[in-house]
Amino acid sequence: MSDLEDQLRGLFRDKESQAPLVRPLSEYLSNRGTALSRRWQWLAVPAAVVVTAAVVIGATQLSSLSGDTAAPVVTGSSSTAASGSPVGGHGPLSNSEAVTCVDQYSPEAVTRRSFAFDGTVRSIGPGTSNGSEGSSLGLAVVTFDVNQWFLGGTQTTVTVDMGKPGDEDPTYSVGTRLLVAGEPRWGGFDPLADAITWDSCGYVRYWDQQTAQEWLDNTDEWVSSLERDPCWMKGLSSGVPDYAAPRPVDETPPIELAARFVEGTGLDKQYPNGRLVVADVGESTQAIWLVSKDRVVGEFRYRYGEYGWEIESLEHC
Amino acid sequence: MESLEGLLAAHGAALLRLALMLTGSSDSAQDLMQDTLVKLHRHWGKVSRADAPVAYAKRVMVNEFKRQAKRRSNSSAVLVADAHQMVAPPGGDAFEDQVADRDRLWSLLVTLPAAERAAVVLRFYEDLSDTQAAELLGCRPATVRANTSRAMSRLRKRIEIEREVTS
Repeated sequence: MSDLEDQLRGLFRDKESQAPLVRPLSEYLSNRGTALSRRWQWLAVPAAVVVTAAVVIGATQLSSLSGDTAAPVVTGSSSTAASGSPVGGHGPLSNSEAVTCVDQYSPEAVTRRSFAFDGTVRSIGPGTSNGSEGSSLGLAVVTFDVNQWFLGGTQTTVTVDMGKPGDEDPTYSVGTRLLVAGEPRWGGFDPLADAITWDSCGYVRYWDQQTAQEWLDNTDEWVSSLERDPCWMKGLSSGVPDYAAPRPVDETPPIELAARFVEGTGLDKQYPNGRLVVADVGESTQAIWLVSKDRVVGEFRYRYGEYGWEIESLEHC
Repeated sequence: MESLEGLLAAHGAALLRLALMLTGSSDSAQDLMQDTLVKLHRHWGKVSRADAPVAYAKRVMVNEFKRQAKRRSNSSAVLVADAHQMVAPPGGDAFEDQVADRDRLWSLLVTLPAAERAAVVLRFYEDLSDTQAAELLGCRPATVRANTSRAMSRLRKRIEIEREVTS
């Protein structure tokens, strides 16, 4: 046995005592833990920040508006209408700089969300999402009339969990037009299952033409690339070892996007003119289907091997 | 195993210790633990039917660790730089201090590729044979041997560099 091996065994023995304490299962499976995974912190963020952010944003952003009068915000009901002009503004709805996000907003980052749309607030109801042990997350249930889908849906109305608008200086009201992006709260295939917005990371913004166009351009990009070259995936497996192929860092957007989706456990991303489906199809194997205009234009399978994700097969090319 | 709660009560501490050895920090260990439990929860039907749910859980954890490491590959340069900063010894005689040696070794472990670190942890912390580790990792025993060997070689080289810097 080598010295280094001895040292490692001793090191591991020493470190055992520094292991953190096991938390209750409910904390691991809920979004409450503060030191737990970033995914769950993200979901907890709106509850912690939105009230503060609402005041800050309300004070700074709304006061800069000319001609916009803050209307009473509809809360506690899912069907009442606001009187007066809808609340408006510019930029992010929430003070996203106050929150540390693992994937801070940028127009390009919208492509990494499960859903994104341009919508006008139809109603605001009390939040139904709770943390573990029933603690409130301070969310509202907001229904939108969808003006345009960028990702994740096709329906004309959609309901999502979102940070509350705030009482005194509401950040939005019935009639406010917003650009909204987020995730299914618990992951999974359906982008709108328990949909929750990532307002605290800048993914809910007051609508403006330029930003809406940026969202459209970015979310449309990979599908356009796909249509130009449906077999772009083949390039992944030529000229490089298989284990090196799914390294997307500096590749073109479609490859980068697809490789990132592979890391999910199951995704179904809808784009304006296509969709991308990722699913577990066996032990350590995932498949990606690229669907454009209702036909499968590509399929490839990844296997989680000793060097990470490896391409197993490519079809339809 | 009847429930995930039961598995957590009986083996949670051991799983968290494994997570700590893999990730190198308590926060990351809790993150990894959570991601592992979420996966186990999602597939509990399958897990509960496994011959050894704990081994299954460990396998999920190690795979999740490797998957997350790949996801973080964009920032690996920063992590490595940080790790080297951590291991930079404060004085020329630092390697005479066993505790400091272990701290540095711990920091160096973080810089290993995930597959190599996993192999080292399973071999020298979990005390598994090459074959047992291979079963858990879903690869061949030869791969475990190769990864362990590469890791040891890498660690020796880095320790040597540290020694040269301090001397």
